[in-house]
Amino acid sequence: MTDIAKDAKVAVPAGAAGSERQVETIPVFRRTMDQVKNRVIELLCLLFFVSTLLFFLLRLTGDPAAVLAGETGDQEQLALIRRQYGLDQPLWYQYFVFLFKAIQFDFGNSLANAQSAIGLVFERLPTSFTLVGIAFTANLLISIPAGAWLGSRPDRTGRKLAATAVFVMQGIPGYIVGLLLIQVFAVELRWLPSIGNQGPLSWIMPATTVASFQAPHVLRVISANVAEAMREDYIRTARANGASFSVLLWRHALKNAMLGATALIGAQVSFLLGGSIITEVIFAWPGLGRLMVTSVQTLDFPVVQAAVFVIAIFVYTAIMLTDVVFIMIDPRLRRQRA
Amino acid sequence: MEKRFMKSGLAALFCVAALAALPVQAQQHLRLGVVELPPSRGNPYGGSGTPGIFTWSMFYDGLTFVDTKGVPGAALGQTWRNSDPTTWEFKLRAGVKFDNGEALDAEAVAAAVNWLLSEQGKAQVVAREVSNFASARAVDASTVEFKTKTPDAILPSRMANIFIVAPKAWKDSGLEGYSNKPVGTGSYRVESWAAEKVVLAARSDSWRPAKIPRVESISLPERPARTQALLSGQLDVVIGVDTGDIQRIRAAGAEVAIAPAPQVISLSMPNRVKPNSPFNDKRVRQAANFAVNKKAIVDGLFEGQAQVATQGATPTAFGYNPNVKGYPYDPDRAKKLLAEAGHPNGFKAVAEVVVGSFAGDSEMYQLMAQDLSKVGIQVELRPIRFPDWLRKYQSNGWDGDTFGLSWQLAPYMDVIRAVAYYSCAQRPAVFFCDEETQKVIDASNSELDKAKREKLLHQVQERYFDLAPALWLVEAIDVYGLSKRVRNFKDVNRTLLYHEMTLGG
Repeated sequence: MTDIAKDAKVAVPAGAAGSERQVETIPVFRRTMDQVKNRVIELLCLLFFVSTLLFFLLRLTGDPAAVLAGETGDQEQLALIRRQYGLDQPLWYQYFVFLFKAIQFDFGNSLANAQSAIGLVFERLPTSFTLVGIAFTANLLISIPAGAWLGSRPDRTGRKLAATAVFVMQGIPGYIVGLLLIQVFAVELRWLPSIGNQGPLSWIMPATTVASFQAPHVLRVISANVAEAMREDYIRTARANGASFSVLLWRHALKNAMLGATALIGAQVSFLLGGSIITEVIFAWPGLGRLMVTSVQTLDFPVVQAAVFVIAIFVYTAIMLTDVVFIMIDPRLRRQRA
Repeated sequence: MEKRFMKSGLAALFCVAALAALPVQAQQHLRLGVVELPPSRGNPYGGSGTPGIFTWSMFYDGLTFVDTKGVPGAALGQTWRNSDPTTWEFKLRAGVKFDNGEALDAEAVAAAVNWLLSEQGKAQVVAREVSNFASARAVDASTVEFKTKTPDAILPSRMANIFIVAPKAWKDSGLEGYSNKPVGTGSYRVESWAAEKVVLAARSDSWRPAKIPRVESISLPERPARTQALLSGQLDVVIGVDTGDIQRIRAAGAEVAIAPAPQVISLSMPNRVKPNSPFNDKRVRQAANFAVNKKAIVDGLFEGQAQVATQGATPTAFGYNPNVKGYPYDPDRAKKLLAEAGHPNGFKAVAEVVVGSFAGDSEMYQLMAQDLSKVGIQVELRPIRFPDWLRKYQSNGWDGDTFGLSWQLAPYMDVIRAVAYYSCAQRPAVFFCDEETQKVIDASNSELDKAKREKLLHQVQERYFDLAPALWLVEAIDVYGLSKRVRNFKDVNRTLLYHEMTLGG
């Protein structure tokens, strides 16, 4: 988290006691490049580790030739399939071929339909990102203000009831929420489409479904953090100086409360790309999660490998961005960096 | 501040409600909700039957089309005949074109079959249909000749399962390209094949022109979601409706079509897997059939819509024996047979089953196991994944004594389709064999006279009824949900006749 801050160096010029601190200008670019280089090396190590682990784990799940041949497949057919896809080669050989191609971002073709595995993943990325983006936004729009509101005066009866409702919400599976939403807004009211990605209206229910099981977690964290912050000395001081309740809550307490919630939100975003399978299935949302599950079920190794590779990059990027957000909202980290 | 916050919240809710209040656009074309699009996409040789058939049948044709009684009728092939027991000649329908403009001729048909006979083609699922083929060649532009290694009585039915691809496009695009942009002779041409959705446009120049100009085939794996999409007017036809939803759909003003499925849901009781299995004894297998109250399963899980299975075939299939009346529910007789077989106190067994293949299968297996336990057969149901099931099936590597395996009759609608699985000639691994019955099966395979062959198949069914190689449970049904505007909906052995379907107002 604090790599960026740690790597930053500050020089105070000699004879400039009491003068303003000056940051070296020339090494800034070099430092940034060093940081980028470190991150890239980290990412490459991560991808190597994940790909290797996945390669061998997948081979334990079964024989894709059996799936391709179907129930009528005989030994001759199985042998042919294995030969065609290189599955008859020793495992170490298959692994090195895989690594060599993966470096070139080539994961081979889907065993099921001969399409480029990475092409199938890219085919799904836009819709997956749409869901991730909307669900993330919905999550923030719901959980930040509601969490702040709940945490600002947690002892009031209305908020206690609301907090209980949020607690209950946390336990309702997304599957149920999705089907309920469809029943009300698609079947009964016929306001919203419930299948596929058909534009903005079709985004509402899937995004709400995802947000329904993500927002309560964030909301509770923010609420607890705000409640704690509102009892801090700096809030009391600000209040004594005449700051309004609104300023106390939104400018001071919430900022501090967001520190704890940011890591959680970052982790949730990382999960979203491949993990919102239930939502994708219920809403016929052609996303990456569904592709992965189908591919795992049919032992379509190239597609699983390509999908996990892309998700690993996404997760790593999300974690990096979370670090950046931390620095943006935490002045202590900025000072440390400076 | 609180009031302001509440106001902002209400305003946001109002905006969302106003946005949501926009009506869902009524679709002017047919929207079809399938469980799954074909995993091999537009490659018609990468799979057989469901789920591909629901999409492929819009744009592909075979040389024949098998009706519900197992009789092959004309499709791309107009007529056919045997010049000798191992030679078949098919005359092709004149004037048929692929949707890219290529003409359908004998060369195209021969090329498709020869590709399946090639090294690459042999790896495809459908290659099984040509495993007995010696050659395929064009005699002239409209006549194609197939030679088989041994006489094959059901070759015309097999040809229904081999969809003919456009030879030039197939060669130019390769498997990858063709899978994404298939070219066929059917009523529709594929406009786009995206993730989980295929869009098709009707062809005015098709030999079986469609009446609905456009179709969208959408993959929606969850049953409740499919039903909800139908009830909300977003889909016109949904496949694989739960029998429990039939009343709900009708009450909501939509319609339901129930068709007998070409499948008998069963638990196989092999006699060639484990040398010491109690199921190697015919009396034990018969006892299992007597022990299960199949009517209760039909009433409880299929809302009374399905039929109790009497044999390993459905009534309209060619070779179904109407004289075989099935095993009645008779637990006392089951116990007696078990005692005669040396198991007066019953025994323990393991059944490896795949659950989630069809609605209510888990509950059905549980009811079956309960009934079996009442006569002393303590069955441990062991759910396994389909890839594991396949691996075990192909290698006979079963851990248990029994396993779930339906008696599947599609696409031939001929009892030999299911019987072949339970035969001594089964590939890749024999799990049930009776040498005497095998002689009759072999005779039926090479008997080209329809009446004589039917008689032989009746004998096979009689013998198999006595041998009880499976615990036949239920004749499956297919339930479709239809919006009110769908007219002329027809299901023939799980092939929907899209070209006959129309949309009302």
